[in-house]
Amino acid sequence: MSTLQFVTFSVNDNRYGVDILRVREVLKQVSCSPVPGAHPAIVGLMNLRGQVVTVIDLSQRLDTTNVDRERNTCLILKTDEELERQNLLEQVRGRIGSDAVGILVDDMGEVITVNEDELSDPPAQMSEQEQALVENVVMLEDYLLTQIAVEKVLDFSV
Amino acid sequence: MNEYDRELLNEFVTESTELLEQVEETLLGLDESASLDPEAINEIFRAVHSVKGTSGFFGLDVIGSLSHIMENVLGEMREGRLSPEPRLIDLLLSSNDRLRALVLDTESSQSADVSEAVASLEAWLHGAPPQQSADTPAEASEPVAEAAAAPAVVADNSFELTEELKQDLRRHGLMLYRLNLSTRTDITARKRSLDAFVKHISSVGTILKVTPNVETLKAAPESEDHPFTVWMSSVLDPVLAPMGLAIDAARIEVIGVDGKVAEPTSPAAPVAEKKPPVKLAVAEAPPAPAPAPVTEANPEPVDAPPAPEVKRPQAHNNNETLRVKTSLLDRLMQMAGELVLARNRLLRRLDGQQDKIEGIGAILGELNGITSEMQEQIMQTRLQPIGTVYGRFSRVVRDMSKKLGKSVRLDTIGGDVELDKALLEGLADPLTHMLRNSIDHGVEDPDGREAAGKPRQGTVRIRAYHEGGMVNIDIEDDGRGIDVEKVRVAAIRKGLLSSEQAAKTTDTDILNLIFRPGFSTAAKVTDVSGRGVGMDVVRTNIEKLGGVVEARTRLGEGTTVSIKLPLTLAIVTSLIVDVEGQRFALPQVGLESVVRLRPADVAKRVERIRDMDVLRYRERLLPIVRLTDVLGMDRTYVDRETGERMIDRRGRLSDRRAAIEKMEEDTLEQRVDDDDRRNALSNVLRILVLRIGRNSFGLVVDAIVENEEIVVKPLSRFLRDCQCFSGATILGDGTIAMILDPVNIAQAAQLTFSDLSRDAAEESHLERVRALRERVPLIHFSNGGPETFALPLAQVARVENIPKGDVQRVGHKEYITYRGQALPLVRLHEHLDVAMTMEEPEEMKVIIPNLGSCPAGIVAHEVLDAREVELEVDEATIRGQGLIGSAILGDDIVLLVDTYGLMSSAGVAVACAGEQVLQGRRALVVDDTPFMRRVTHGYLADAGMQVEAVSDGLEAWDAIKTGEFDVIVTDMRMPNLDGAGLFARLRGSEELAHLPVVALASEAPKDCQFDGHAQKLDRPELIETLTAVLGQAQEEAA
Repeated sequence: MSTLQFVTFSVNDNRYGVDILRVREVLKQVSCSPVPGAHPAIVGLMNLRGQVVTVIDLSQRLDTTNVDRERNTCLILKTDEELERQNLLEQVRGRIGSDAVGILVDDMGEVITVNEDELSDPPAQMSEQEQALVENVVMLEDYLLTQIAVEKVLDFSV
Repeated sequence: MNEYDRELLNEFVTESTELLEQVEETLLGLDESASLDPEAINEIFRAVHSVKGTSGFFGLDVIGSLSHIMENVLGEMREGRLSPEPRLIDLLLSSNDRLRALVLDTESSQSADVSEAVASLEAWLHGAPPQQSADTPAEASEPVAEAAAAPAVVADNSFELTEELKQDLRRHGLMLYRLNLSTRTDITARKRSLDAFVKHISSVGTILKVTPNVETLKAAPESEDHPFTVWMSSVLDPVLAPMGLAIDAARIEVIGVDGKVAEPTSPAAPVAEKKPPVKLAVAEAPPAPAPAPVTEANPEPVDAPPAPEVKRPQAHNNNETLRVKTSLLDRLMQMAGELVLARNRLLRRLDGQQDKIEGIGAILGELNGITSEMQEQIMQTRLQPIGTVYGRFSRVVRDMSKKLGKSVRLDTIGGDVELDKALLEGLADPLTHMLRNSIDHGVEDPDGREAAGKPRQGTVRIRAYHEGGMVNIDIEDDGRGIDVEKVRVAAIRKGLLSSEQAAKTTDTDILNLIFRPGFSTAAKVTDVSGRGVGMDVVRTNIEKLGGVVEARTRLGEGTTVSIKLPLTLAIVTSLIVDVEGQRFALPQVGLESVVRLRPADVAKRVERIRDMDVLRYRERLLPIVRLTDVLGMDRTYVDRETGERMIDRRGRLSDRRAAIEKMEEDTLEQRVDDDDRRNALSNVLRILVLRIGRNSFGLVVDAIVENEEIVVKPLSRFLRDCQCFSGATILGDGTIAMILDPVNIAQAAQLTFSDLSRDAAEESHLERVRALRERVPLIHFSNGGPETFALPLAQVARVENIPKGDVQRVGHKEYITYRGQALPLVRLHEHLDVAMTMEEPEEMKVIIPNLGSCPAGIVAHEVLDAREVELEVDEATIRGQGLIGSAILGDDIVLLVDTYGLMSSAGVAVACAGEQVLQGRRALVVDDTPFMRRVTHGYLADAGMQVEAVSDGLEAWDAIKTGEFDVIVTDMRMPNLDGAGLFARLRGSEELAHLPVVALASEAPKDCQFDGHAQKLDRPELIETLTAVLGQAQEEAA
């Protein structure tokens, strides 16, 4: 039985997870320079040790009416190139390209290991927009963990 | 051969070597796998084809012929007509080796003989595979022996390369080496035993043979020097072999040609003797000491053409250059940039604290120096000589001239001028296009040239040179040039310019219209240059690279297109500016200047034309936009009372002077607040003047922070839609700034330059024109509301002080008694679209207009001023019945009252004497001052005349020639052609000599016998004069 590991975090009091292989690091207290005229989900650009990282507001993506930008914890994703260098690309679902991206979240949670057969489709009561960005859900003991499809979060046409 | 040809040749060598290596690899793959991959064959087919093609370019016929036949064979294989059987692969491999050797030594390649290799390949093409080679390996007819020729040729005591060994070498990717050694240098001097030496060699390869053999050498007296030769195979490539073997490269000869798989064979000292495949063709050399260079002692036919392989690379100094991935360089470049930033941060942080740590100053100094130097050097790695693009042009010129039946010589200068690789790549297409244009449209056909007294052969010259930190590239031809008049006509026909504008626009400006989209003056579209890439694309491409392009021409002599480019794209000197607390970087390249305007100057320099704010700059009018507006950012100001940041909603810059439109809504209080707001914002308006091609525009920012060298980082795909930015950068303080892209900002702001350049053309004589404009005495008054008004003093007869109580009302109308008559009063707010007067003063002013008879008085609360001003009337911003327009008086905006319009909207009839004679007569009003022109026009039209108005004598002359007039009313002082000049022309013309001309002047002009004169703005006098003049003319005619 193959298992998956998720880095979990919360956005607007919901718990979400991203495949741990996709995550490069987590930063707290990030500050971004806004980009005028950019898509509303783009919080701005961040200087990560000399690399320019585009920071995306996940809450805006999940609920387009939400523009509260008080959060400042950032999940830096590995680019496809990075994964390929580490020979991990094949094991990760979804392609996000070569641009360095960070996702702004509320709080970080623990890393959770789940069996693949525990994954199920998103429930119907989930908002349409949210469903579009979700890969799977996992019913954990005390809460529902939603696995985010990063490639869809980063595809603003979704 | 000139220097860039040499450069190119070197490139050919490097490239072909790579290609052939790939061929070899693929061939080896075919050798092993039975199934044929058509794509693989196709790939090597293309590689060989490419080598063939390029060799043709350099005239390397021998390389060409060998690659040609290889290509044919591969072609047959690709089509499945030849199967890749091992013998054929072998043949191809050896031919490939031969080819590679030839490529590596292009100089002597021409004298090489490849006929045998060609013949062997040819045989396969004719379906006659030479059978015998399979049975007898290493036969003379076997091309391997011929092509790779090495063993037979170089062996001092012959070493036979068997088929089996070859297969082995090939399969394992081994190189075959011959080491020319001597016991003294390699054994004794190195203080090691022969065994130790053999062991060392065996650790990096397999010894195939030692001559004389090891035993013999061991037996030989140590005191003497014995030359010996070692044959070995190794995975080490020729570059690494000397290091691996610790033997001087000069004594290592490369025999075999494989290299890839790492599988060193097991060591064993006397392998040579044990390994069965290694056969010695000749008996072992005598154990006795042989003469140092043994080669000549060889009984074999050595004098066959020396195998080129042996001479390997030296010919082209390939080892001086190294191919490095661009991505690696880019990364290095980025990191160097980041290092610079880190250094800057460090220096900033330690600023002022350097005394605390002893010696840190020196260390920082050193770090500083090294960092800068390193950045510079890494930048250098990206630079490439422009000569590398020149190469492809000779081909273009040759093909083009052939196609067009022209004779053109290409002259390239400055091939060593270096440019950033990215720039160079972006430059190739525009340059090619311009070259095509020059040949197609510029250079005449030989007969045409001869007829024009030029040499039959035309010349196109590409010249690159450095100037002022920029790279300049000129494309010059000695062709027919561009007929600027034709361009002018085309511009009018296409509606780009009106005929007047076209007449005023300079030749240079007209010429550069060819860079506008869809502009072509070529009489016919040829298939050569009509490829859908116009000069506008050229300009766009050049501008994308941060450059500018401009054309010059001389009819009949030729055309030059000049390009200016920055040296590099990756590191850019930029101006860091601040807008709403956010930093932006603006590359210096496009920056023409920075204009700082104090509030008092804003009124003078910023105006509003056709719904755009416009800056008066060096006799030009530049559109200006606020960066905040272009980027859609909120503008804020700090509220004085609350100290909070508030959103600023003032629309236009020119509102600083023209806030009138909003006054109706704004209360007085708000206006005060507005003023505060302006003060709270920094008092100075900062405008960056940016250049795009030939146009410029102003970009308003809040503050200018500093100049900084920035490292350009590309934008992520998420920001591709943000057209206004060309990239991002990390500033010295670690924050990120977006890099502004002037071209796209102008686009986003929807600036229309064409119109402005037209305006600018008009405005270019501005100063001259202005000097000639009349200063108009105005009376400036208010009616108690927020607006102020003005009337020309000439239209005012008197201003009466009337106590409030003297106003009598009859029905809705108000009257005063004036000179014993009832004079109706006109209140401005009742007839104009202006604010209502709230309170009446105890005593008011009544302005009695000078209208011949006195139909009505205009009520004013206060006369503010009466003075002479140079009037510029803005007729567009504020208009309405009874108003001429608005103008600036000191710091105020005033509304100019149109007395006649006001009176007619007030229902007051304005009677005029002599109108009978004037009815329906045609008058031409000539005045350069728009206000005067308008007023005079109004007077005459009201008097029942048909009026046309023009702005100077020249225009008048044109109008008179095409239209019919009964009388000309002209100002005296005008640009281009003044009143006296116009008069002289009219009198000098037969048909027009009797056309009556009335001067607008207070006194009869000297030297000219005008038919009459009238003071400006004095309606009664003008009407009187015209009545007299036209009446007289009528009498005379009768």
